[in-house]
Amino acid sequence: MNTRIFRLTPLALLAGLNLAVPTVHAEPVAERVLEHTAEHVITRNYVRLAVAADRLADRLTALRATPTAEHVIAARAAWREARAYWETGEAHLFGPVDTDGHDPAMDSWPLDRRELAGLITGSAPLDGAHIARLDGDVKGFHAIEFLLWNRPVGEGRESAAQAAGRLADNPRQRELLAALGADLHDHAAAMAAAWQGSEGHGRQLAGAGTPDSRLYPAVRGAVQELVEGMDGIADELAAAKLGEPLASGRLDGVESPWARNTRADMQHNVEGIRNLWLGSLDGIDSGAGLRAIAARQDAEVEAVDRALLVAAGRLAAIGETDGGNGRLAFAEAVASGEEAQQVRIQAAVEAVRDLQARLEEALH
Amino acid sequence: MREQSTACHGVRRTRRARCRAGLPAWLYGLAMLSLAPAIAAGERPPVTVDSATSNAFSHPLPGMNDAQVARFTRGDADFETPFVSGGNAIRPGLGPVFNAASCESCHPRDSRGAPPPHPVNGHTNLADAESLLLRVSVGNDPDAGPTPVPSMGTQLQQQAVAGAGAVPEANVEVHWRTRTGRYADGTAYELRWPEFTLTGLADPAALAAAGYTIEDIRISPRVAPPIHGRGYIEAIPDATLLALADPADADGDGISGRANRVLDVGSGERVIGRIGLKANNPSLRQQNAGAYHQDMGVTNPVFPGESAGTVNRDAADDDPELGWNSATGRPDLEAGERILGDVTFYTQTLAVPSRRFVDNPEVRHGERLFEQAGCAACHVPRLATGEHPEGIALLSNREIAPYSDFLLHDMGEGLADGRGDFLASGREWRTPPLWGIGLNELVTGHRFFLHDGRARGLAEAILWHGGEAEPARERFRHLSAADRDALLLFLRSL
Ligand code: HEC
Ligand code: HEC
Repeated sequence: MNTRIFRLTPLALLAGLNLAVPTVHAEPVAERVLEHTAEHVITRNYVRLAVAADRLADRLTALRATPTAEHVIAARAAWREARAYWETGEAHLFGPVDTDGHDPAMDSWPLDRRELAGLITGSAPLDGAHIARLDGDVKGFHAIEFLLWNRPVGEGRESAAQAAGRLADNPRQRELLAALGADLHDHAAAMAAAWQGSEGHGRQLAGAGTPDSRLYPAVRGAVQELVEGMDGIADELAAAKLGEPLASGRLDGVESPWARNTRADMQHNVEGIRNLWLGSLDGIDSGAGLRAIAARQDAEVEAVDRALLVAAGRLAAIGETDGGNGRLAFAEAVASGEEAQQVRIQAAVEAVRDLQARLEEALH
Repeated sequence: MREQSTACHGVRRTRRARCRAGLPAWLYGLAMLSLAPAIAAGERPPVTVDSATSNAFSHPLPGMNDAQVARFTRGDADFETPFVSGGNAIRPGLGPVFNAASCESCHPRDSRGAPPPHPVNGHTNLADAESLLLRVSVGNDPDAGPTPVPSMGTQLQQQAVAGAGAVPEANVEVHWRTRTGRYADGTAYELRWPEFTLTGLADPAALAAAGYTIEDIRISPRVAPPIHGRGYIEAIPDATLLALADPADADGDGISGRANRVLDVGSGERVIGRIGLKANNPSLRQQNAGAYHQDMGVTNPVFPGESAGTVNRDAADDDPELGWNSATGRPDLEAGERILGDVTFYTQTLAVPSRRFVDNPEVRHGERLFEQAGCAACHVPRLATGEHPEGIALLSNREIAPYSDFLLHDMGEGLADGRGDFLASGREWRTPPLWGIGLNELVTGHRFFLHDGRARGLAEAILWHGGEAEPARERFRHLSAADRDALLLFLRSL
């Protein structure tokens, strides 16, 4: 552990559990970071996600009524926006997102395409109660994505006009889309609510080391939770999202393939790490992110800053072609089998691993 | 800081195993590093890890070598990976009947599952709670174990692979009941418990043909317990357990404690049971092989045949020619030795999180009350392990603090399941270890305790104690509110 946090721990421990002893603010950096991160990074990100999911649900409802190209374009844009907040939030996959089952309901992968097809051709009522009971692998972001974009990598893209035509011919697909949008929003809203208020998870984290927090009676545990959150997504990124398709050449593990959003997903993962690091959703150092806790050793802190930039840059470069005309989607880059693409993916893996190592140095 | 019931009505608590290779190695380092000041050169690595996050039950034993960490990591992946129905390329073999598709779905983050939701009124169906399963039987033979229900076996599977033509073995309805009580100081409390009713049996004819009715089926509901630290339990010498046991209550303290004796499937011998909620398994290997076999319908080296009863079997399940591997001269197993071995190593080497706030005065006061109330007679604070049977050195000859004697105790009618399990009666349960219990809510997001998850918080868990533990419960019930809080705070420091 960082000596700074470590030194503070015995006080925090006492403050956390002995109700007779008032909180001792000998070293408030970690407390400030937790308070700020809980409210201004994590909760706010969930609120943005809920607002974006609401917009998506509205646009899918509009699409159900009038399947036009404009409505397809609007719904697709809303999907990407909500998706971005979900992916930045993957840097803190603990608490209600995990324990209340929102993660599987919103982001199961792979999709069970057979079950989904059965839902569309079947006659079960597509009402909220029915959708709420469905398994995660037929709903959430990826089911909506599939119904909005529909064509796998290698089969060309479905234009908005083509999609509108398909949906016009298929009222049940439209109905399902609207119902899935509403369900996604329900989960996003429940998650935002679970982080807010005096009983919310945000208070648990922000109040770490005080009697307000049942879950985090010590500041150190709460800080470590954030660190493990960042590390967890970095690890998933390097090992699973990038590393697995690179090693196997297979596409079944590649998420968001129909929207060609895989690379954006991964970039938003890194942005999520940066948000926790800087204590801000806007890329500005708030002075109350984990960076402030690490701020002892300038060199180590700057190494993290740099590693974040490098990782973001390397992810952005995946799919660039040497001719410079056009860019391959991540799945296309994997499927191309081209060495140049593999080198780019490998470089991104190394950058993410380096980011993990730099975070470790700065926050250990 | 009074215990409150968690609002968890109607939420589907299925959780997704994230596709990640467990915690990265450096976090293991992190967890150990903070203990570093206490370790002098030449000393053995600590027995616990200093972790108080939602990953607290997922760390490997401190001090493992690279090969061990690699094996742990493989086992971790096996633990998380769902099996799917036959015909799929990756991990086929789920079913034909099963309770859940992966270990992780019942033991999220290596922890405990949740009971079915408690609806405001009415009842729920067991399909809503995949981490609670029902052991069943129509009798028990102390030597041979529970008598299988015809065409259902000793565990009910409420899920089935529809594509394989299989059907759930029964429909299970869950009704929640409540009753109220008061502490000696007048404070009221409410206790709730679930009752299970089987309807729509898949194969009623088999039951009738054997001369049984549905009322003859005994049901033992069990929620998946946390699994950290279980390797140490394997390393406790038989002699230690037998010395703690006092079957005839010779010392007259009202607490007996018996060791179960169960079948070791590998050797065919009867040996002391220590794993499972009624100490109904001798080893983690057999427990895990049973989980693959019964909970997931996955054949493996210990249980090579399918678990499904007659209505759910197809020719392939019974024909040794089908699925026969001529190279090995044996049928292909859905989970082979590689998987069973690695997952078992994983469950043997999950570390125990360190206690917190040990020196806090209120915690210490609570610890004294725990002893004075007689809790420690069963929840034995400290034990020493001997040689681990498979020679895992880090588990051998260690001082551990499980807060359990791992023996069977009569817990009274309120907790009884009425289903014998080898020597365990229908009123007996194994004392569960309490280590890590203070981190339960952080890891799982809920506060449901006891074998079927009926208790909504630690206080309710204690208030359910009966039988041999009734005097201890009464002492707790007679404590002042402040002392009860101190005792609960002590439990939360574990
Ligand atoms: C359907 C839910 C479910 C699944 C799936 C499941 N378990 Fe369990 N697990 C349980 C229950 C319930 C118990 C208590 C069993 C008993 O009393 O015999 C248990 C007990 C255990 C124990 C013993 C704990 C103790 O305190 O003695 C271990 C270890 C374990 N499970 C590991 C696994 C592994 C490994 C897998 C996957 C191969 C697995 N479980 C799959 C529900 C499940
Ligand atoms: C006679 C032995 C015995 C005594 C004495 C005893 N317990 Fe227990 N305890 C058990 C058994 C057995 C269970 C499991 C019962 C069940 O699951 O139905 C248990 C369960 C628990 C649990 C829930 C654990 C879990 O993981 O779900 C807690 C907490 C607990 N006991 C605390 C206490 C406290 C505090 C006292 C003293 C007031 C106490 N016990 C006294 C045997 C005992």
